[in-house]
Amino acid sequence: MKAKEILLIDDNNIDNYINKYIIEKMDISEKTTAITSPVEALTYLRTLETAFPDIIFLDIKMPEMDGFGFLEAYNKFSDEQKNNCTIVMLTSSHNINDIERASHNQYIKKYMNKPLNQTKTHEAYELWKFIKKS
Amino acid sequence: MTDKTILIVDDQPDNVYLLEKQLEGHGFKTITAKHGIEGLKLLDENKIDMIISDIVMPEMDGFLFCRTCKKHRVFKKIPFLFYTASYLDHEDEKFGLALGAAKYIIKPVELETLIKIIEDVFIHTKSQKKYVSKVTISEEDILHSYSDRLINKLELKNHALNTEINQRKKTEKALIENESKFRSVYQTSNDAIVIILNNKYVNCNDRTVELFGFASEAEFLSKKVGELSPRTQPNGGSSVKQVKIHLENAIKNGSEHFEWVFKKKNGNIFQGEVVLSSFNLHGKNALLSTVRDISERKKAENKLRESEAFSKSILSSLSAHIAVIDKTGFILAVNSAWENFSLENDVTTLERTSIGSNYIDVCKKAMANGDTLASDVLKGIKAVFNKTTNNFNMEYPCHSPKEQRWFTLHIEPFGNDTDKVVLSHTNITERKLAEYEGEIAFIKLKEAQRIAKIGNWEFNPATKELFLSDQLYYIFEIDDSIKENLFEIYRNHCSQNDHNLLDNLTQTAINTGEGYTYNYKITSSKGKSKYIQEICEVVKQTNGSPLTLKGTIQDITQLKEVELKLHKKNEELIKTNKELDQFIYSASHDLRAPLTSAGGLINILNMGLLPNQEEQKLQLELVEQSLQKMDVFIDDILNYSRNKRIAIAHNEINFKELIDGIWNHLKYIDIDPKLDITIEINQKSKFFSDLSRIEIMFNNLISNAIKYQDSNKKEWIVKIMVLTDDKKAIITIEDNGIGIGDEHKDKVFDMFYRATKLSTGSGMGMYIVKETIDRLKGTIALESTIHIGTKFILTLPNLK
Repeated sequence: MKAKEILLIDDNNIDNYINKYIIEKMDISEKTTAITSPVEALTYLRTLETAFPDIIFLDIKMPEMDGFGFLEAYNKFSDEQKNNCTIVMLTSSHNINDIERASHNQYIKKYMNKPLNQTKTHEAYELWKFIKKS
Repeated sequence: MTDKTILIVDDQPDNVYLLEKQLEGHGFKTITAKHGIEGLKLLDENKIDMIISDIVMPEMDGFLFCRTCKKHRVFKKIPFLFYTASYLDHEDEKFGLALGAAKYIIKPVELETLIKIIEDVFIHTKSQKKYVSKVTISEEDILHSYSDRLINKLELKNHALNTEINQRKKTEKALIENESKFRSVYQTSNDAIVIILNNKYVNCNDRTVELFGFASEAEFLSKKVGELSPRTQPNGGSSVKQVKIHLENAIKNGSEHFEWVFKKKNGNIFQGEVVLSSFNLHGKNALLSTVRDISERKKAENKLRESEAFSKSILSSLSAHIAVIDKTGFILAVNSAWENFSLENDVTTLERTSIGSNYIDVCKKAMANGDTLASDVLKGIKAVFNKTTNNFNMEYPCHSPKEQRWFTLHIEPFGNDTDKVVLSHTNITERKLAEYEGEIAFIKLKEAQRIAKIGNWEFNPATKELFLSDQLYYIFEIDDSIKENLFEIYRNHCSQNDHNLLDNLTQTAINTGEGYTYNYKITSSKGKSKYIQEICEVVKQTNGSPLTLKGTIQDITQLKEVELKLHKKNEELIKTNKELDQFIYSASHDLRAPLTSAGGLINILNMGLLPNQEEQKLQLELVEQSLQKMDVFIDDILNYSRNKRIAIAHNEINFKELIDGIWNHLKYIDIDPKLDITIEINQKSKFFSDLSRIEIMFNNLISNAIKYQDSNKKEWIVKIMVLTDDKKAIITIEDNGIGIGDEHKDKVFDMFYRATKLSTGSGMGMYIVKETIDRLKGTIALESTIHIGTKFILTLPNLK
């Protein structure tokens, strides 16, 4: 079972390229969308008529709005839309405050350090599948 | 010469008697005549060898007698000697000798001289005609001289007589006065006076009748002597017998004085003092007996004796040195303290002396030596004697070589006796020293208040009276002459807000009895801004003393200024810290982001490699290692700076979970299958510490244990042991790796120190461990032998 869409939100184009490359190589999603700004990502989500992406890889530190700011806005979407969306925090931050904050957020299902590799991607994918089943 | 007969002519029997005896004593016979006529008669009848004649005599005086004798045929040969005490003029003597007298002797004359003259006249009677010479003056001259002498004598006599009459009149008058005086004394005397004659009462005064309780004098006189006594006297002897002895003694010795117990008519007994004195009453020995009732006196005496003993014992028990002196300064009495003082003090300013010495002299002597105190003492003594003051007091130092001493001298009159004063010296050294210490303490307190800029105050809420110590006047800069409305003045130095607050605090303190501490700002009277701390305590009402508030006020302006500066600094620091934190966070992200990106790129490069591209794979691995090294270094620096700045957290720590987590994380690094890791955890109680810091330390130590294994050894061993109790945790991390050489042991905790070339780290790891354990107030110990292994022992306090 492939994911319908995986959304990457990261201001770093290189990281977006790497992540997209790995996901596409592993062929676990029919579509991989990379957006470099949370604001744009929110706009994108609002335009979606169908369901939200299955997995969102969310960076923390970004200009304009950081990952946590995105999650606050995300909170306003309907439960129906959010229900099948698994958000994974993907960051280069080892900062304990960030980890702590992430652990208290109901939407973040996993906290991962960059760089993303096949193992980590697989882990996120398995997690999505597990949530979807239950 | 014993057959010589001398005719003595003198009208005074006493004179005659005296001369008669004297002459007879020397073997002369004597015949005496009272005057010239009788003398002439005796000359006729007796053979006379010498005539010694007085001049003043009745019938015929000495001069006429001599003239008559010298005119007589026979008698003129008998030597005639005048012996007179009345005709003393030289003219008298000249006249006497001119009448033919052998000698003219003026009384008084030594007996020996008289006898010598008499003997001389006898020896020379025959050879020296002059002793029997005739009358050498004419009858006319005789008459003339005689009448002269006589008139002269008469005038003198007359004068003497007048004097004598006056004298007698005076005596008589005195006698009459005396008599009446005695009579009134006799009758009004408080003593019973009785005249006893022949062992019988013959007369008594009114007091006698009264004393013995009789109705009349007659009734008393009817009693026998000794009858008015009990049967026996206190000495046990019979009264009757003893009375007899006393009466006899009085007659024999002239007087007798004794105490006696009498019995009144009604049988009452009283103690009497009796004086018997004998006197001549109509030629008989009579006794005048005075009896005084001394019962009261005896009682008083006993009382006096008791009170005297009492006073004496009190005086002796007093520590004050007491002496009584008279007006001349003579010391009459001293108490034992005075005596002891004199004994134990060799040299003192006011020298003390004992009974018999003269205190005033001692003072004068001291004055002469320049002692000014002594002159004050003298003035004091004088003032008390002159009654210009009731008493005199003076404090004076009297230091002995051994110690400092002070005394107070008190002088006051000796009761009602104006001739004596009492001096008392009291040692007041203890009081003085206490006063002195008190003064010093007061000065020190003031000094301390000045230095600390602190003062004390006291407030009486009922009267609104406020006391401020000197330092408070200084702090508020209030004129120190202001005492009125001080409370209002003091309270007007602060803002209206603080004024109201302080009023409330004061009222609350009065109501609850609880004091307060309040810091506020004042503007001093001179306009200076100051910060003060006011502390108040409530002194509760006791035994009528009203409730008061007491406290201190301290000028804390400097402290406050420092505090404000510190506060400002602290805020700046907090801001800086925050900024730094933000910087580090950004820096860490921005530093790590390219590394992770590079890591991701290597990963996908690896994915695209074909199996035969071994060389490229190795190269990519080396790039990845370099990137990892950099990542670790950044991590270390971030950990270090975080450890430095971030406050210690109190997390509950489960060591098992913690170490398992670290181990699981490390497993992703290449772990050689030779590694044998043992984890022993014995956590007995809840343990609290800073979780992230401990994690960083453990991470460092455990990864080191794995990293620095000895490739030569067949088996790699890592042993982790944790033992906790409610006070501390002891963590041991042991390996059998390459070990640390002694030369490195001191330095392994230094920043950027790397002990071995095998190290791929930053040289920060152990430094962070040491810094962290210090911050957690724990300890770390290192035991290591090169090629054998290393053991770190950590002790962490339980921060519960």
